Amino acid sequence: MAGLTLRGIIKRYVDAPSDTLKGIDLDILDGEFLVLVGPSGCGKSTLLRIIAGLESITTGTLSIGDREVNKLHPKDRDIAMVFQSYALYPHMSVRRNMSFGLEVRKTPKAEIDKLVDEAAKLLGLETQLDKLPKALSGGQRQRVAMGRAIVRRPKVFLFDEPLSNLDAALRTQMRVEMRRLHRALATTTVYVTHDQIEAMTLADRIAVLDQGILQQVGTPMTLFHAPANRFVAGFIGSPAMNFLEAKVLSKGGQFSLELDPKSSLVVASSVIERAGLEANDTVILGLRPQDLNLGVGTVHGLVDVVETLGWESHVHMKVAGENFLAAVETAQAHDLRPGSAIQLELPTAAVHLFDPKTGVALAHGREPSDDDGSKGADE
Amino acid sequence: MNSRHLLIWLACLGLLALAPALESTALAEEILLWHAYRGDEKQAIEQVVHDYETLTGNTVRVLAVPDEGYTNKLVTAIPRGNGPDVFIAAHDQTGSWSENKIISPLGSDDLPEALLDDFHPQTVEALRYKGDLYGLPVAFKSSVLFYNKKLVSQPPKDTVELMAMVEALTNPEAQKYGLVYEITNLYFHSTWLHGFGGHIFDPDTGAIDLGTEENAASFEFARRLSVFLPHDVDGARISKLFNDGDAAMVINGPWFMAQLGEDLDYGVAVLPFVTESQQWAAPFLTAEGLFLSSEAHNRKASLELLTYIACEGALTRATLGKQMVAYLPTYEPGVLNDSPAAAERRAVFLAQLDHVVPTSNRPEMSSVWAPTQQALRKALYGAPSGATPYWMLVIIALLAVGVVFMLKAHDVRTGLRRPSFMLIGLLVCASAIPVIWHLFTIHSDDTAVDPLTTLREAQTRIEVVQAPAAIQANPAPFVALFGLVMLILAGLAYRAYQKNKKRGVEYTDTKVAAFYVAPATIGMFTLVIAPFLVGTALSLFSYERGEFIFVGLQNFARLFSGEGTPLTDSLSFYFTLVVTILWTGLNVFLHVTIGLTLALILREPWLKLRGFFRVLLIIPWAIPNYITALIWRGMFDYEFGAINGILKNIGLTPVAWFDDFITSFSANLITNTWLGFPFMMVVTLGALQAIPRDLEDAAAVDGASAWQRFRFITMPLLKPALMPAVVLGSVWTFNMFNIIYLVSQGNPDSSTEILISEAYKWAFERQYQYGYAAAYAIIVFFILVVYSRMTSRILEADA
Repeated sequence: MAGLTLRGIIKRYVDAPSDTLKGIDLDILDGEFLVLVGPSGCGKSTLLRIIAGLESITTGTLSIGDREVNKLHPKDRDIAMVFQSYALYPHMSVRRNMSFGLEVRKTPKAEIDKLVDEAAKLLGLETQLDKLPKALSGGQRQRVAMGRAIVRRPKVFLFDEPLSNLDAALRTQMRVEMRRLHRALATTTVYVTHDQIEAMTLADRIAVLDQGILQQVGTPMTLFHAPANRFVAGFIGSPAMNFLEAKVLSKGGQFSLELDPKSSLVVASSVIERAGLEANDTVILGLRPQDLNLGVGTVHGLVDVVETLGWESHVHMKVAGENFLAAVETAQAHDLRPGSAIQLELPTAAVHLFDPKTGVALAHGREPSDDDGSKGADE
Repeated sequence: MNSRHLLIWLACLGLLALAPALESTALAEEILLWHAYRGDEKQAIEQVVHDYETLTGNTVRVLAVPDEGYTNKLVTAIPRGNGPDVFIAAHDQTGSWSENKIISPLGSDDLPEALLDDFHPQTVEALRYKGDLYGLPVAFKSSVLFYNKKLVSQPPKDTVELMAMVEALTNPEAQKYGLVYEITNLYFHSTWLHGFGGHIFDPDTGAIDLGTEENAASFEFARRLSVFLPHDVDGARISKLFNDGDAAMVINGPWFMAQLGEDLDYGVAVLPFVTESQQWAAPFLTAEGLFLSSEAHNRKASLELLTYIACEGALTRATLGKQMVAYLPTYEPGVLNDSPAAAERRAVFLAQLDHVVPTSNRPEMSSVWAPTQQALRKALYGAPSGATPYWMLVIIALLAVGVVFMLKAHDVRTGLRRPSFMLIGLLVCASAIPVIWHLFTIHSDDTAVDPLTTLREAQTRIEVVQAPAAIQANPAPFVALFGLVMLILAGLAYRAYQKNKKRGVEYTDTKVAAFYVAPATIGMFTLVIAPFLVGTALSLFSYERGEFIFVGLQNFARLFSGEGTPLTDSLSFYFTLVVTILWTGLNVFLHVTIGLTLALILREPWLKLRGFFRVLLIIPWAIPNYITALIWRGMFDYEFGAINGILKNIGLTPVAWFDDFITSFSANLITNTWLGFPFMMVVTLGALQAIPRDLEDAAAVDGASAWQRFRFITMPLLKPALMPAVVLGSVWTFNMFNIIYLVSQGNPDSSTEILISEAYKWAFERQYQYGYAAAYAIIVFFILVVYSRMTSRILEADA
């Protein structure tokens, strides 16, 4: 087992107008479960394929453990990969699918059988071993793909959106199994997904990628509470964070943020100071839908639509002319009607301030504590 | 459209098809004349016919038929009543035409006996067969000695002088030759063959008689000459050498003059006296004759035209057509206005007529040429062994078995490893090495063979080619068998019908259904079933003297007996079968390998201009294959071909591609590979599209090398798409007539023929043995049926 070190990885495809990856620096620790998340086209699959050796590196270095592997063929990297399509060999039985990697590595027959049986038991595939992939259900195929990866005991697991072809219920179930498996094997894992829930639930750390640039790397809670920029803030957390433009007002040493002439909220001066803001500066205010209180407060909104999800309800409204979402207990939203005016309370501790031009986070209402397990590389 | 309308339409179409027949009956009164002339001769004959029409008021339709296939066209058209009334052709087919009742003899009622005295007796003799005269001579051709007056002051009088001059004037380093002619061509060698007192037919018995001391002596003489002659020259090279002053003397016919430069100062002389035998050298004489078709509509008018062209037309033909006419009064003083030089040459050609032997017009003669020339070639230059294809098959079989063993050492399907198989495979492959070595030694062993031996071999081969006397067989058992098969088929059809009926299949609307099925049924019947039945029936007949004789299975018996020749003889069925298997196997192997490789390369992401390459690689397939075949044939030409040009430029010796089995076979193979790989490439490209790239990526991550990925992932997934293409490709290749016929033409000595082209030769080039050829075709059919059944079984088992 080994960690991964990525240094200044740039990938440019022939004929492409710009770099797909624009200099990725990332350390993945030994035994860590790292989730690479980002919108489609952000370069996360490319990065995974680069780690696998299926794509070449334009510039930069990639090391597995202490060994630079830039020029190393995939077959020599001792990694295993689970593809989105599973890529099961259609002409081979489940057993052969799992044993193929061992077979080409000239593992003795007896040992192959032992390893395959172990893996099959771990994944509950004992009765499927002699079937062809086409005879299996989607979930079973997914397990075979995982079985093929774990049977070889590689240094690193790579997963490329492995759950995206499963239905919602199965996905939840597999997510749990995946986590359990990682606990059992403790192998360094890089997991690519566009689904932030998978990222939040599975990851030791999450790396957010957008437009070929690593936006932030950190524990799920760090990313949730202290997103490094507006992109990460918007991407992590569901429903997504609300953003409003605000103006900083100073009245007798008390700072407040004005959203429109009717709505403003008072913010602790320490937050404004940390953000390096002064009176009359414009700032982007970020607020998670769960952090709001309805009914009382200094911010005025107009109810648009109310979605009831069960014990939680989503209240869509207009605040300062912008769309704004609040996620509250259904009891709170019970008597809200479309078109009715509403007052909101926005706790200081929940605010996030972003630079309107660069989108960089200026300050968070609640500072990250060491308990969040931030392991560096946050900025 | 209802059915009545359709019937009317069909009737109209039928009438349209009949129209040409109606037209030809309406114009039956005009005389139809066929010839194969071109250029001056064509103009002259048209002028003569025009004069005749003006003189008599009769109408003559003249048709210039291309020289290629002229004879075949006559043989097929005349018995069906579509042929000419009168035609002009060389005399050598007279016997065959007479036997097949294509031509009609000229009796004493037809022509005044005295008329024949006006023609040179040799030319008249050439047109006689079994005592009957079949035509009037138009012109004659024979070889003479051409010499460059700058290099040769006096042409040699005898062979001793000739030999001395040839030796003195030859300097191979400077590319100077004393004498140049197509030494291995029997037509030119006949000069010495007759000069040494030899013959092809025994003058007493009329049987082919090659193995004589005299013939051997003429071969020996040719061998002595061959030391000084350039190897493998053809007509074009000879005229270039002579025009450039690099050849002092040439043995050639009157047509050679047309290829010589205006300012070349050359003379012609009668061929020398053979000192060794005290006889004159005597080349073959070809007489062009006017023949009367056995189906001539108006015998009297046709005879009138025939006589007019031969006699009155002679002057026009001699002057305008520059022919050496056979009508002697033309040569009387003052008739021809020749230049002195031209007059001198005409005199020599006339004088040579006293020392010629007409090419035999017996049907058997056509089978004499190839074997005799092969014998001559062997006597001069030696010849490869006929065992070559067998050894090649052994080598390929050993390599194939070896490779299969090596592949099975790590089984694709089960993943089982058997290291011992790798060793066995290597050993089997290694055992091919001594066989390859043996093949090389028998090939480098090309020493000249004793002339008498080669002549006796040739004699045997010629006898083999002769159709054995047909023995009438009783058709009753065959008819009974046929009836039985038909009854069984009818019974099966009825049973199926009943079965379906029981199962509740209702036969309603059968009339409409029949209507829909009719076009396909008619098409299948006329294009597939009827020819197949006719072919099968034909294989039970022997075609002799224009008649079909029922012989039962005699054709098959003859075929499977391998003509009674050794297996190494190219006429043996088994030899041809082995060559066909080699041909098919190697072709399909190369098509698949090259097609697959290119498809895999075309898929590579680093390749630029992919679309361009794809189109470029499909082009060989898009060009009609006979054009490609002709282009390759040209490229393999010894003298002017691009391939030898490249070989010469990089300092290698040019290869006489069609002189040796291996090179000739390779030339065919290269041509057909060029034609065949695009199909496999396109099929593979299509099949590759259906294989997700992820699978190979997964295998790469799994630790498989490029070879292992190909072998364990790509190849097994390609197989279902590739196998039907392979079966199809092998059936096409097995019957790839065009390439053999156009590229190697079976050379050398019919050894590169495949079954289908061999069948063609039996049908059209070896005395029209249609029945025997049909037997070949039936065998080809059964081989392919068995092959495709076997492969589809294997495919089904795989799936």
